[in-house]
Amino acid sequence: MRASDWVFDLLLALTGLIFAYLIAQIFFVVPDAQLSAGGIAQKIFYFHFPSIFCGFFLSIFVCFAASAGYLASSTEWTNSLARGSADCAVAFGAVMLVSGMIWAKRAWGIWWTWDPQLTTALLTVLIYLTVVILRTFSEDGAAERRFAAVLGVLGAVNVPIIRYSVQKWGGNHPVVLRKGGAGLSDPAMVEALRIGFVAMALLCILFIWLRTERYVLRSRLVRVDEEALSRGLDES
Amino acid sequence: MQSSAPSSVKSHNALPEGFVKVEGGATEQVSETTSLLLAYTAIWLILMAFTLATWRSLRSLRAHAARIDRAVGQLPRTPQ
Repeated sequence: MRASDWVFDLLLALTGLIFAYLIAQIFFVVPDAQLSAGGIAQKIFYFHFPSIFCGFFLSIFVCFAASAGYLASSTEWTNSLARGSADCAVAFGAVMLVSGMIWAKRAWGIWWTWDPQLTTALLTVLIYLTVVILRTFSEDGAAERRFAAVLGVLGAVNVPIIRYSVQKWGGNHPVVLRKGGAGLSDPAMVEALRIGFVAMALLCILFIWLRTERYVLRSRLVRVDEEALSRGLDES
Repeated sequence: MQSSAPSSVKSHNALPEGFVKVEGGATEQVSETTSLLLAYTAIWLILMAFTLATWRSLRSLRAHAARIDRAVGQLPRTPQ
């Protein structure tokens, strides 16, 4: 067993334990919030918020760094990392949007509103979805890779826009932990949020790891396939 | 039912208050509980689907790699 396999298994076990602890904390320790925040439904927050910062934004940051790295050096690994993290950005973006919509239905009475923060977040998910679709349905040539890498870099520009849209343009989205927000009143709420951050960050790292490995392996197989065909082996 | 109509959405530039602990638990448990269960089910479904898709894809690629290994092993070891 390789050292990286040991590290992966260790991270996987740790992530599972932390998620189990998080769920126990949320359902048995954290108190209910006020009705205007959704009452019990406010407990969606402990997955929703970490999935944004430690899932969606972390994936975007990795995609940005890897895409910039690919544009600078054009290595197979940076391309695979950029592609894998774009996949993860879409997955965590879906978690963010779906959990947010269900919570909004309870707290605001509507599934969706064209609030600046919600709209910019949706647009960012769509940008990374475009990257995923582009890479899935196009040839894996140098031009396609560079175009996807440019989109991966440009998509990250939206992150500070999402972050500061509430302060700049107002809207309905709560400002809880930022300047001007009222914060979390109970220590158990703060503790659950911290655990949520750690759990979601670990899950995000594991996902990016697996997706990157997938693309590295895939590109190696393509090369081996081509070499095998050139040496007279058929595809079977 | 509190906050059930679209008109209950707060006006722009009004920063909503944070989360505060309430004594005795919140009321209207059914609707809130349904929302909570729905959200957690959706979150786990998305994450599980992503995990499953990744796992299946990796398994398929590893099987492909094994097939290639076998095929390469059957090649005559003669210089090109």
